[in-house]
Amino acid sequence: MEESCGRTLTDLGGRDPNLFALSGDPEDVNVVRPFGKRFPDRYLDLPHQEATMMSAATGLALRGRTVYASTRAVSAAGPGYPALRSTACHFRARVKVIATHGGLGAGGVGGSHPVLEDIGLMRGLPGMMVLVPADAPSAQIALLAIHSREGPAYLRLAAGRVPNVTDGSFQVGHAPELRAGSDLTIIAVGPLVARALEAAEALARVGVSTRVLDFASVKPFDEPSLLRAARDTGALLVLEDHSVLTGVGALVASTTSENYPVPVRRVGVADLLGEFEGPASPSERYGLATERVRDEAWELLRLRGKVQ
Amino acid sequence: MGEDVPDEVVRSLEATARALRREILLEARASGAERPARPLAAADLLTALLFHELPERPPTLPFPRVDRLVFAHGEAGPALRAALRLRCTSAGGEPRVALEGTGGNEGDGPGADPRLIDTSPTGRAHGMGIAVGLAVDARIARRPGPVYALLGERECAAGGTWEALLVAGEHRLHNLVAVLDLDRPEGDPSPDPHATPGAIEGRLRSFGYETIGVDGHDLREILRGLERCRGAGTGPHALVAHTVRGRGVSFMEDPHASQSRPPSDEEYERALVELSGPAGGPPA
Repeated sequence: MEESCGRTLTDLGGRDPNLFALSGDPEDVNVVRPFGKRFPDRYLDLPHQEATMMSAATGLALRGRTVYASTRAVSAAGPGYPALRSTACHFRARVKVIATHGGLGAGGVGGSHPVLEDIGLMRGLPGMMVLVPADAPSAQIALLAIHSREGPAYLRLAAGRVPNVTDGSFQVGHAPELRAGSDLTIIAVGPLVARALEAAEALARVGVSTRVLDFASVKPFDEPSLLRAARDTGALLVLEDHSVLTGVGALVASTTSENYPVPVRRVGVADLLGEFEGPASPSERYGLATERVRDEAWELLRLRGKVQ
Repeated sequence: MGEDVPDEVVRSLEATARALRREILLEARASGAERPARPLAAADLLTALLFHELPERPPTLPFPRVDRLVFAHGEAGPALRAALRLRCTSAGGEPRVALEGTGGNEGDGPGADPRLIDTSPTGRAHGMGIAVGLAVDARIARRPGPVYALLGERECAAGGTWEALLVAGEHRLHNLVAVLDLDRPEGDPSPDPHATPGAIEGRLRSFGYETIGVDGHDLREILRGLERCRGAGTGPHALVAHTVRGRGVSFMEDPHASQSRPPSDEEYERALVELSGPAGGPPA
């Protein structure tokens, strides 16, 4: 995901002389550093200086540049947040945040790194676009999409390798249906889209028809597809590597309860900070294991009277 | 350093500063709640920046004198609004432009200047960072004029300001000029030995700045300092100005008498009379 975004950014930089990039992560090698090597005049290292990175990005954007600011999600949404809010959002500047190591995948580098609140923080910011692609092909298209749009954006990339599950037909404001189904809909974001497809496959084996929506475009989000899924399938299961308090689950629950109330289950992380990893995998530790998804799906089907 | 600042320029700017102080009082009185002491302290620095460094029309110089001015001085918001209005008036515009309720320089209304970026509505910690971005941009585009950032005393207490000041030093942004308005109550040099103008200058020098300490009410000294800041250097410049709250109105300089509450109508009247002497009036 990082490598393909890095290549896309370097390509964009060749075509757009107004593209500028800032890096807050001294360990980044893949995302903006390749651009920096190719275009050193349009690149600046600001290691661990995220507040200045975001406000300086706004300054550059106020002079007509499109500025990519890349660092780990925990830093972008941590120390970078006040400056993003007060400068990039205030001036509606073309500041494009590439947040790496989003979600639980960051656990391998220590307990301070998983950030499970960033989607909620960012989608609460006025004018901020929030995209969480499921795989590398979608991430590339998402990067091109934020480049062509006005205003600030937050692109959350998962850490490490994630399987390709989409055909890259990502569009801002659209939630593509990756699998058709009529009994239940699983709405997933980021690397958990792959798990949603696995769960749908397992449910199919016991005769449950499950629709899967890729909710990569968190803001703006695809309200028509969401409400259609509520009407067609009558039950929604949300899967995210994010706090259930403020993530996509909360967005789905509030939108459906206002427009078309159906049972919603949020499978994500409870009210927890990231921790150092023990022997259990992050998914098991934080309640995102496959069994949990299956149990929650079953509970929804029971609520709708579709199973005993 | 070039030729010294001509006397008539200093005298004309002193008259402007006096007119600005009157506008500040009118602005503060109209808003009801504002305390004019800190805007009054910033009046001379703002006069130098807005009426000399960033004039209404680009000066007939071989290069632009200023690329951008970032206003990062929330406490002096009324002074910026007053200065923009005064600038509009002296340019023959409407005497009262509708800037009330805005950040002072938003939109493209009368008095607004695209070179002036008002960050005061965005919080205390971020204006200097925006100036860093502007200076980086000007360096790439090879525009010669410096980027100025006017920082208030409270902005100078914010961590984000110091991170951005450090970044500018590390990246040797020699086209960046930080103007620090370190206002103090009269007779109170500083309660904190680490926050004296001298201590702050020392910290900035350790960051790679060339610093110039000035009396922020002596326009000749301010202009000479800004002239030196435009000179070549290996890193950014800082003009560290010592100012006094309430300066210009005798009884408003007394911190105990009037700075802890908005002045009364009667006090405003007395202050306006004090500032309406023969030296007043905006420049022709």
